[in-house]
Amino acid sequence: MIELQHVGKSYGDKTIIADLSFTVERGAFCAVIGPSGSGKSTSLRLINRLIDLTSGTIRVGGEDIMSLPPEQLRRRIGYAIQSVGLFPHWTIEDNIATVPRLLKWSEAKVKQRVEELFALLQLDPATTRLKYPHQLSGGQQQRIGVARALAADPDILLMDEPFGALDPLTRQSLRTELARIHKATGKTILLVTHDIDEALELGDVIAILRDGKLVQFGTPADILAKPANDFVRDFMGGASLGLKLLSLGHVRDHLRPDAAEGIAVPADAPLTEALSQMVLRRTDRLPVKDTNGKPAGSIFLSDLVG
Amino acid sequence: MSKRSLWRDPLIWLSALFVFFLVGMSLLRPVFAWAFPTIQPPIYGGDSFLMLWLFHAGLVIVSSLAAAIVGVGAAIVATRKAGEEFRPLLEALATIGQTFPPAAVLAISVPAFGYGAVPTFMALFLYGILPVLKNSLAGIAGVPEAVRDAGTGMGLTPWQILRDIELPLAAPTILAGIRISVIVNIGTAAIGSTVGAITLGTPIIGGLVSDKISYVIQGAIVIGLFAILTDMLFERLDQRLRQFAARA
Repeated sequence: MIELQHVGKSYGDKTIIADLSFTVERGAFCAVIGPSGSGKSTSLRLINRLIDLTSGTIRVGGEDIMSLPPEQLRRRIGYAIQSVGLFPHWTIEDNIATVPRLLKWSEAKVKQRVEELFALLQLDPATTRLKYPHQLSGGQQQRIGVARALAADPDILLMDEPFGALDPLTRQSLRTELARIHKATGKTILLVTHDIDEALELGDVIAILRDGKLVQFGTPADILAKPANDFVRDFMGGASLGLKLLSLGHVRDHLRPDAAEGIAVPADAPLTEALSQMVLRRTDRLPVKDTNGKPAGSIFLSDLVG
Repeated sequence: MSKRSLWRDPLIWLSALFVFFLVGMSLLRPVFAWAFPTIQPPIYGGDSFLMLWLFHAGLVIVSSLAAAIVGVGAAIVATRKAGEEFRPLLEALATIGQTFPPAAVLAISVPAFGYGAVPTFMALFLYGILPVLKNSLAGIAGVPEAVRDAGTGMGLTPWQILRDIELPLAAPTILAGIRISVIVNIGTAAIGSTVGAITLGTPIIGGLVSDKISYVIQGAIVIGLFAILTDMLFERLDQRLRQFAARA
């Protein structure tokens, strides 16, 4: 659990964060979004004390972050950043093992943990373990960055635009992977991003920041359905707000037993995909297949707005 | 390295040649006697070349070591948060300092430290700091900010960041600075003979003063080989280091 209470940060008379309060429940995935300069990265770096608070309190797992030496606090919190920052002179294995070794785990336990992480991130240890960061692609490096952040099995993961510098395809695949990892590990994750779709796809809750203040905090559906003000409405997509809302739903939740003609859409696809297919095929109904490819029913255009 | 290629290694050949000149210069007596019939004796007859080299190398090693420690140390201090303010000053000092010719530094140190090995040592030491300082500052500053940020964010202490991240990544650049410092000092130490230090420059200075050109040649050959060999050794060390570090 991460609690921010009346958190403030200023440099001289320049205020970066003003009276920021919100709570991320244990096991939740919170996406922090906002325009550049809204203080989203700063708020993240306050949590692991890379930046010192000016006012307010932050609690991590119920404990005040100021009650621990910063190094000790940071070793308990996973940290992944956009520029990855892998140590270029260390092998992939050693990079991943950084925090476990700082915590003086036995070498056998470190080895075992590294293997677990390779499995979790679906990386091949035989070809990657002893390589150096520069020998990997950007996407692979970012994956190692995530593995390194998870290495000491921290309860909390802080991620600062971890996929910001990647191409859209790699980005999407890593996003899907992060969602899977979140489900598999139950970590509390705080992810800073400026990509609304990323926030909508990954976040259980979303915090929208502007000029260092919290503008709205809620579930993606809440925020899209009831934007707090014009800023949120425009920022979240303006005219395409309805489509964003649609993208949160899944085909499987709107199934009909009726049959339909044509190529089937997968049941776990977002509703936007069904809509897109209907427009492309000039039809108002589509057949649906389940994960095994078997017919599962159909979906009608009228169900999308129902 | 296989046996075959070992014998093709120029370092081995040059080392052998160097040792020959150090201990077997007298074997070349007929050659120098033939080339310079008027010079008696044709081979420099003061301290043996081995002895001169030991003095010379000792002076270079001690002064360069001291310069390396001070140079790297100052760069570390200037790149810490607490020493930030000194950084522009040190950078300016290192740059301006290197515009002085080493011989001028030697000339200045005589009135301050008198004659003999001490002013030579001081000149070599002071002049040797500059390239080390300059390269160490650049090397540490060249460590990507993201790497430092990730390290700090994962809970490395400032000391661990310095020891495990900054110094290994800056090592090739720092080594390049030490290399310049040592090579310049090998040359400058020879000029130290003008202020009374015993070095490989002694036969050169003596030969110039007494118009015995063969002594100048003998001294110059040994110093030249010494400098080339040292540079080659640094080259090897640099390659080694790059295998382990600086994969950025």
